Amino acid sequence: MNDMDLTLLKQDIKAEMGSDFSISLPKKSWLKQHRNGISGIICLAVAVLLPTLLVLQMKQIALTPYNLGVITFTVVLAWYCLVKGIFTLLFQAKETEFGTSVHQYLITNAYNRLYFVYERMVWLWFLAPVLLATFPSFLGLYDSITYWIIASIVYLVALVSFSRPLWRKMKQLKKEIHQLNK
Amino acid sequence: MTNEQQFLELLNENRQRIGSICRYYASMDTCLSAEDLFQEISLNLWRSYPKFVKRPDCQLSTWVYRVALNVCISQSRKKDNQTHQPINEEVTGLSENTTEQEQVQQLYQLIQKLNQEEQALIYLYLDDKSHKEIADIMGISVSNVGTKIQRIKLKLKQLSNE
Repeated sequence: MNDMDLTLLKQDIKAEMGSDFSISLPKKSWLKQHRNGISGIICLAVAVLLPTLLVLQMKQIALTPYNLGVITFTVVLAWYCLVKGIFTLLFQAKETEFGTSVHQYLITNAYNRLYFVYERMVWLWFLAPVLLATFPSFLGLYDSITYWIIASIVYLVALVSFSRPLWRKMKQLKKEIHQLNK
Repeated sequence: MTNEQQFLELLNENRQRIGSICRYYASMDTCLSAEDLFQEISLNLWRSYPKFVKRPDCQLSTWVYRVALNVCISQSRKKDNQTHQPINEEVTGLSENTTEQEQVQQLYQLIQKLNQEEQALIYLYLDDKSHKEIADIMGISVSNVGTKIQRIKLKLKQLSNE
């Protein structure tokens, strides 16, 4: 790499281009363009719906260990959906804000991606086991040993397969943020 | 003149500027098309135009560069997330027996190995922007621009010697 190479690159970058481009309407559908916003709104709706259903059914539910599991799971999921909904809408707002400086855009983007990695970690290490543990109460399979064996194997396989890539991704993003802040 | 007419005039004035940014990013990544990038940038310039009009402190060229570079970064990241096989072979330094076009292509592949911020910085440097202008577009200090450009040059030199 020398000055001659850079001159070649400069010439290539400055070559005539753009005059033959026409401007047309975006190819992407409205749904695709606003998918983050839509999923954020759905999450918020679920976050409101779950506690409402729980409160309505509360009087009829006997406080057995199974039902307590269901209640715990519903509360956790509603809380998760609320947080997820708010962050997704914030992400949608920031993602389309292209007028900020390049450095600021990169930092915001890196933090957003880090948030999504944390979200997957919460699913893998917390919500998935809670879901698997409370799921039998919906089907009356709480005493089924077969269920627990299959569920444990499936969860352990998922845990081993996804934990490492997620951890690596988190480290990489943290490094990226650190480099950007330097 | 209506807002729309003003915007179209602005777009026409900056067509060359936007086109060269698209060319730069499309040359580095074969999955990106310069025409699609141009469309995406035009669309996002139009979307953020009302915000720009309300901000007299920001220069027009700075705003165009910021939007264009941020859109290209966002698009190249989206393409990175999709699984694809790179068409080009791994670059192992610049060979001397290549044509000018091949040499340029190899340089683009070397730049592709830099991170997103460095890619944007080196583009602005190659586009003969002053350190002050680069600092405004990037949102970093003028002295930091100088330091980063030196670092990138060194990094590219090391990559080309590998």
